[in-house]
Amino acid sequence: MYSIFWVNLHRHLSCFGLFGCIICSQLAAGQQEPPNFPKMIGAFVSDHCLACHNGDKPEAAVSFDSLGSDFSIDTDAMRWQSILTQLTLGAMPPEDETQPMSDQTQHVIKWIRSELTAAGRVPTVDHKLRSPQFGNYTDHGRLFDGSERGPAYSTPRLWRLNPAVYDRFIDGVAKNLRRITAIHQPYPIDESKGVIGDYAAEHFADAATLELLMMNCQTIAQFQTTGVVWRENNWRENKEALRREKRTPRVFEEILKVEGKPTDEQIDSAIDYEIQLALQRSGTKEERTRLASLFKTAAKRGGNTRALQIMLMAILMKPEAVYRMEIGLGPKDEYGRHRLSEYELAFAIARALTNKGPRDIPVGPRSKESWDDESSDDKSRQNLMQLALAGGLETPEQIRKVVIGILDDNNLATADYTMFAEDHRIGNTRVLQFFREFFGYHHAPKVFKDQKRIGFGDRFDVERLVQDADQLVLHLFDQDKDVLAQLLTTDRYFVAYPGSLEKIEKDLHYIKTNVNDQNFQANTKYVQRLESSGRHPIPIEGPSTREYVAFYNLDPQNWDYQVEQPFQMPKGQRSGMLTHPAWLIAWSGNFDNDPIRRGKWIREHLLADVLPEVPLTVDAVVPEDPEKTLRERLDVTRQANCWQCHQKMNPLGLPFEQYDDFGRHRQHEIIGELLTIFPERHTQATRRPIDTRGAIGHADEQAIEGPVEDVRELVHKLARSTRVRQSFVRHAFRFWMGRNETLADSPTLMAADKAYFEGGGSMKAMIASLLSSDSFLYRKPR
Amino acid sequence: MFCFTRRQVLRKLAQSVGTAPLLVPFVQRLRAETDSRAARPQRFLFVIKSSGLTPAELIPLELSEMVSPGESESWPSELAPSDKLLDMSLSKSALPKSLEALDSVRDHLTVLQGLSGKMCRGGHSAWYGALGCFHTGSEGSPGRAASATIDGLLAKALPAIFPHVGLTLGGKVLSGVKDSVVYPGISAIDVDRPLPYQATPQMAYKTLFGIAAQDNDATADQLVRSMLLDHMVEDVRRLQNRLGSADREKLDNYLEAFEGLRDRRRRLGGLEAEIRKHAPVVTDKYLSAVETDRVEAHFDIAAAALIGGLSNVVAVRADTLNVTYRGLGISKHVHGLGHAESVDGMTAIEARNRIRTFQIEQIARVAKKLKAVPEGDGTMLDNTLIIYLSDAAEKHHGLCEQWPMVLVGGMGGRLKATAGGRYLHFPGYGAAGHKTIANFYCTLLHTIGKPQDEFGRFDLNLDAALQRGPLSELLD
Repeated sequence: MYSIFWVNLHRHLSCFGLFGCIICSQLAAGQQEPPNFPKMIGAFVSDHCLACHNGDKPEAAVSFDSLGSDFSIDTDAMRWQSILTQLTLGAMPPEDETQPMSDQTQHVIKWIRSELTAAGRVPTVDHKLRSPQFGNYTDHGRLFDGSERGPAYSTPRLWRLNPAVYDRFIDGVAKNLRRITAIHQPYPIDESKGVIGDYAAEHFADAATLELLMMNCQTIAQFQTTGVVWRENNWRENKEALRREKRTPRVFEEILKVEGKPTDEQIDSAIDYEIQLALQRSGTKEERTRLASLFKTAAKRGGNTRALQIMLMAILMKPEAVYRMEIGLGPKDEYGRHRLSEYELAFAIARALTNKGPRDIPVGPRSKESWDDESSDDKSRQNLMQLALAGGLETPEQIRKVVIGILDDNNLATADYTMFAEDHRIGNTRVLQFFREFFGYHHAPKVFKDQKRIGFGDRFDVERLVQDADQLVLHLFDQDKDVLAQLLTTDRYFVAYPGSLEKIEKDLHYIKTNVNDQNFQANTKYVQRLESSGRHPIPIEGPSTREYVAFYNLDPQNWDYQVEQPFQMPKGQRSGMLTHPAWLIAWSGNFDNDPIRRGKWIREHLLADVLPEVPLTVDAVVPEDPEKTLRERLDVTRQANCWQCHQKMNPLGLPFEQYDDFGRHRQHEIIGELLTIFPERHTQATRRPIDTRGAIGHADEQAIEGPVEDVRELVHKLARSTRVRQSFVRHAFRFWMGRNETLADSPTLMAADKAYFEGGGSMKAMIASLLSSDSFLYRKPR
Repeated sequence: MFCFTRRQVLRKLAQSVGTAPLLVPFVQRLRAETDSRAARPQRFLFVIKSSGLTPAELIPLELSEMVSPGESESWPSELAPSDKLLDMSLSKSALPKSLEALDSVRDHLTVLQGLSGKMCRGGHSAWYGALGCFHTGSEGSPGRAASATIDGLLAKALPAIFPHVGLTLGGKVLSGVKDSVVYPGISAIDVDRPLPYQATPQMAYKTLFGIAAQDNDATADQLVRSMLLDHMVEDVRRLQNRLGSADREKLDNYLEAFEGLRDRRRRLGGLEAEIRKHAPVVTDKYLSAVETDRVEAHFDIAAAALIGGLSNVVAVRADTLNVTYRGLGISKHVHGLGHAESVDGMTAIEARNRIRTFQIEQIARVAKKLKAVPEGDGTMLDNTLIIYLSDAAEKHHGLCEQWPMVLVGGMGGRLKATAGGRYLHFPGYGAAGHKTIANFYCTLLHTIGKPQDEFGRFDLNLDAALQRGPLSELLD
């Protein structure tokens, strides 16, 4: 193995003295050039790296002066890892330097990878490429130009339950379990704003997960047997009482009341019941034998009750109850890929579309009764698991049809918004989750706004904005026409809408008649004043809570509440989700707007672009200057070394200066004093006109590039862009596949984009296409 | 990266004495002392703040000439690198303002300055690198744990019922506060094995002290529970055999979790009363919406876990950039303060000082509790080392040229104590005698009898020899 990295001496010696000296010293020592000398690699490094990464003060303190090519040596391997990372992410050579040909770069990448592998090392860049923040690094052009033919597949994987699925499972055990006892969330997702959080590769269950899971399982096992004791407060009598609550299935009761040993059949029945509850399948013979054995041994030492509880816990903690298996247990095809088995596929589709299990999802035509009465169980319908096992999910066409059917069944029209607001019981939680993670607007309540700026509890009211945004998203999803374009441009919003006219009337009835309510008198005055002038009052009981509509520039005291929603917002003020107060607040600072991160969001989420990380040596600060607007203060980023990146963000984010950091439309920016929501505090304030100009650049799509006058022009341009649509599809892919796309997924992405486009902007068609794609259906180890 | 054992290093050094003449006798002396002191308990509490620990705020008055103003009045002052080793007693100095709370334990105080860590990423967080000495992660993601971090290694070396206890207010450095187990990406027990942190005091309490709090029929319960754990271990193994290589690592983790729990329950047997005795009192602070309340609760738990013998290694992630210190009257999150934004009539510097002072007060509370517990011929504080640092090194966007640390406590009698406190400032980056955080972590491993003379990865721009071995100056 050669130990020193050799370059093409004749070609480069004169240019790179120091590097040449090393070579010279080697030659002087009588070493000969190895026969497998990778000349092309040497030339590449010399041409594109050494000029800067050389000498006493190399750029970024990274020097390749004595770069060796023995990958078994740590120091050499580390530097090659660094080169591989930079080349793979396209971060080097810098944009203003001569760029290597693409095939040259690919050759070097391939060589480094093979050398690392031969030395038993894993390319560290692969870890990055698997994380959601690096999704855009796969070449957008190649993903959609048809040059990549696949075949697509995912790797066999175990996908840990997500928190929503676990919550639903707990509800399935008992709706009120959380109310009477502590249930912990063992599967949290540490979600970053605007990032798809639930990636299969990112989450695992270790000792800490098990701690929480075990506490929960013990509680469930007690609840199902002896019961959970809890303290009930009787407010009227000012007393507390201990209560025991339980839900014991009949098969468990039979065991609990046996004096001696229960029969094998009784134990088997208990095992079957719990496996069905936890895993939605029957127990295997082996499972029954082992669990029965556990029961019998435990019963000898601890009695039947303890033994039963332990056995139930053993089922609830089975690895399958923690991880959903997507191994690919179906048949193998000519490309060496295994299809998901019927059982795996039923779960995969169920979890992709809902937080339910496949046996909880009815499929196929609905009876007339179930259309008329949402609460009725339609016993005549098959469930998704039955359909899968009966061969009903064999062809992509069959899958698409089922997927569309499930999405239609869960339309917003079937949901009750009040229930949603109270406990998030809504059909399309997965779809909603996607949009939340894509836009990040649900982070609005986490952006702290000082009490003295808003004067009332900040969190609750901002959460109302999030609910309004949720309603808008789900409404447009239900319409299923030009979903993305509508989301980016609509000026018809939901505000304080409880879900139906009937519900509005019910809420108003409460406000008008509940004389014991502390706000009754104030509310009566408010309601009478509005109604006497022919206007509708806001159906919210709390006067201060009603104030939140001011975030939409609606007057809380005098606004004629709209009983039919969505409704047209004040003319010219709003254009889609990016001008919704929830989104604007989510992407704002504690005291100011955040044009940079808003621009970054558009760059990464709508233009499928990558931005280098903030250089580690940069202490970015927006100077505080009471004489200047935020736009003017951001001029600091126009310095050449900053502008290289900021030119891709600022012009996209600055049109949103149309709004203040509460998301309110404005004509002027107040400078020199702390902005509050109270106009009377700013009567003497210095005001400067708003400048909303911006630009779309570096978008690889001429039709949308160029300056924009305001935010409306910006979002309308984006809404008609092909690249924006494709970028949206890429993000949907990540959410529903639980991983980043690769070039091999190109056919999947193109088909999903086509389905969306040809369906008239149909999100449902896009999801159906993704879930019937090879990327979803097939598994193959890399 | 090769990690040499102490014996290997000694052999290597013997072969090349000329390269490190000073190191050999020191290491030999350490070796001789290892056995005699190995029996003493050793505990570590890491307190990791975000947004950098400002070096200029940790110096005694005499060194104020080394301080120059920051880029502007909003930026923290800068501390010039020293061209020589500064080793000073703080006995005649007033402690720096933010360290004043440590006055009553100042005999156990060492301010450690001048170490670098440029093998790490820097920026908003060096992630695992801060305690692991390697480059990893990106702005929003911790990346891979390329090897165990120092707290992970210490946890492995100092077995306890809970080998490592992690306590935090939130998850990753830039993301929101969570209410469960989180992986902040700063501690790892091994390659690709991140260590969890409890994000709420309530859950931390339940995990650490909950088992002992149960009053039911302990014997029968313990018995059937061990049967359950045996069953689960077998259950996971069977599935592993069926699945082969698919995502094997995840099942390995799950299996180890059961095995670990089984081991812990065995060790807990009979200790319930003792644990109950040391369990902290649960107050409203455990579920408070105010961050400072929950931080205080976490420090109570940390102290109780160490004093109660539940763990020898505790790491408190004191805050993240997303935390807003409303309890300190600061209505802007740490990230904004890091970017020099003023708030509530305070400059960012004043707000940062307030936060640092609060964190030091918490450390002082723990130190006093440890000092109040006799142990051997001294107190628990003598055998516990509290290490306060930031995962962003010296500033909000750390360069890692200076990585200041505040040390409180002893290391089983090995930490050189200076009456009135000690200020130890190593020569600056690249100067003769310069040292890195890897040297400091090697020092910790030496003192617990698991000597390593290389830790993590080298800073390739520094001489490798100076990055090897412990900090002899720190040790008695």
